[in-house]
Amino acid sequence: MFKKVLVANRGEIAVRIIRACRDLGIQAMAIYSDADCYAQHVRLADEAYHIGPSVSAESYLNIEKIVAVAQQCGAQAIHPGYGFLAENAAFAHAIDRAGLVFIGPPPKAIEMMGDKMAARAAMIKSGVPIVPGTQTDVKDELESARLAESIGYPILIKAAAGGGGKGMRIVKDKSEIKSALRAAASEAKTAFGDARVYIEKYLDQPRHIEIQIIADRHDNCVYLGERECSIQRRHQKVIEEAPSPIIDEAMRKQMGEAAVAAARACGYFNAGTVEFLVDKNRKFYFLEMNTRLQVEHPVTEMITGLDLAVEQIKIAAGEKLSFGQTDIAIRGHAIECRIYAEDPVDFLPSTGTIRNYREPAGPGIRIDSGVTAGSEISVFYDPLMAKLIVYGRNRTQAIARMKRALAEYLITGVTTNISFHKKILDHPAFIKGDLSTHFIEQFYEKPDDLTEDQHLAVAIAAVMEDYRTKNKTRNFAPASQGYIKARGFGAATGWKQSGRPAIRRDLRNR
Amino acid sequence: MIYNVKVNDKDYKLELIEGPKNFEVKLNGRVFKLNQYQISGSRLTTILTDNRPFELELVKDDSAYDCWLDSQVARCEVVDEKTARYASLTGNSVAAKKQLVLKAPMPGLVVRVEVEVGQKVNKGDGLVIVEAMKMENELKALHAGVVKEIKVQEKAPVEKNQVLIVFE
Repeated sequence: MFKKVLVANRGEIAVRIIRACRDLGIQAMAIYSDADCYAQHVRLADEAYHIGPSVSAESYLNIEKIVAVAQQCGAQAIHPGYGFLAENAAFAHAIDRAGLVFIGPPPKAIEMMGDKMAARAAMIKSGVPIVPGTQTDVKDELESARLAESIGYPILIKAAAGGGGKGMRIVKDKSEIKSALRAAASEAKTAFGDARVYIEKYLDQPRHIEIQIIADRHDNCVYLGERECSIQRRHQKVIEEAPSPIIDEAMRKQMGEAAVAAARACGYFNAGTVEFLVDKNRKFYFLEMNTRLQVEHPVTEMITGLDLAVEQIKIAAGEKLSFGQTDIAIRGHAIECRIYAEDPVDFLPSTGTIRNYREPAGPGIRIDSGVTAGSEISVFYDPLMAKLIVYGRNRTQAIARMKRALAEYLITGVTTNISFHKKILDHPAFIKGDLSTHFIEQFYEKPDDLTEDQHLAVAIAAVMEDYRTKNKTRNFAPASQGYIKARGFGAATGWKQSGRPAIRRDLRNR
Repeated sequence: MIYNVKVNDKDYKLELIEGPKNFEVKLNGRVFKLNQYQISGSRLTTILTDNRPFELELVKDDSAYDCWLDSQVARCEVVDEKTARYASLTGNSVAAKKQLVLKAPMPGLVVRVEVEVGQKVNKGDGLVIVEAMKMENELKALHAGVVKEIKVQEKAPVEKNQVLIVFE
């Protein structure tokens, strides 16, 4: 087993991997940029190394620097997390060349599945059904228009080199194709360094359902059930759950076996996810394979009882899977709400410093967070702050617990999408499990206004504050000050120096 | 002391009464017995009105407050009656002519400016593309108008609420 692992990421996933290392008795090495010098993942690591300026290209995307740091600190393996270099075959190769272990799949699997079109071709060969679309990337507007006509509008333009919603545009009509192509290619170039795009048919009201697979280096491959990730905005997932409300045992087995076939088709080992779109007739189509640990992996962990990050490290260390397909049982229901630093109405990202921060807790609640009070949310990185994961014995209990947890979660100083989640969890369509990738578009308007009583509370609080600031000389002290002084903190001197009356009453009826 | 308070777009008239032991607030004939607690240094306050707790945080911003509660932010303006009367006596300045502008809704980097000075735009036309957190956002015109001034250029970083374009 490794003695030291370098965590080549930041935020909540870096914290997650550090915890997995700790569980295995491994020392975790963190890397950080200028903007992250006070970050949680830095504080929790065993050692932390500064790797460059805040701009990702010069820090978290800098392969040479990261590999150099790994060698410098004596790490035997590197975990890439998700995003950044997680699906960068050049990174995996560089780690191999340095004599270190990449905690993930073999580089050739990353290359094959990272090229969305090569992946589609491999699936056709393996007999896995795929979404109708182009076999190669599209070169220009004329070709795109022609291909789009033959596939049939509406179509989706997608980046060949990556996902996460970047480099993606829906085109409903050929008049939009020019600007959509330009925008998608530009975004793809920025996000993945590769401007190639391809075209797929845009399915009507599909559900995004993915299968978690895990494989060791001894040719054992197991599927761990599905996740439903249909609630998305800007093609980025916001709420995920496991199992899916519409998948039964038979379909789980079908999709699971197709996912394992896809994994074997590219010689896969370690954790991976095969994404499918499921149409209204419950037919499933291969969308793409993500050759990394995904953001939403916790919901699978909750229903299977497995620790996927720990399993990843064990697999990379050469261990055999300690379970087979027949050992996997799906139990209960889990939901994850991604807490983003963004406006809950227009979803534009927000920045700032978190002032007050209080996580919910109690039965069935798990938080994977990269932030705390004082954390700074900057423009340089993805606005995902934390994941609120809830487990219940069934979907109804999971929803009830999630609502409780959302009401308890307190974050001030940075606008978050918590009120968005509250609204969705209350929606009859969500409660019925009536989901598709159009959910937000169809059902979401904006969060509820504050109640009348909440308006009054705000008015009263503002008045009290106004009164306080205009009457500083009055016998009027914030409760805490009175309380602390009464307890004698910094007592005698402070008391006398301020020249205030010896007896201090706070506002309360003491 | 009587206050006029505006919370988002609702108006209230409150009377704050300082009692021997605690404060009371009179509103629309109702009287609220009030307790307030504050956690030191964090500005997190619990307002206990009629035994119902409300946890909130007030941040003063220019002449008003941002009030954070229940995962939302309310905008709140307080004017006590004395100040309000004084202001009306001295006469309010004529409301400044509103300038139509496009402001950056979030901090980021200008990718491209899609219009020119003097160009007529319609509602929904693309004006500026700003990149933030690896996503490109196209800022569109909310009204039809004519571009008067372009205050940014490509590759320039922008702050939230920074003016990007001024319209006639």
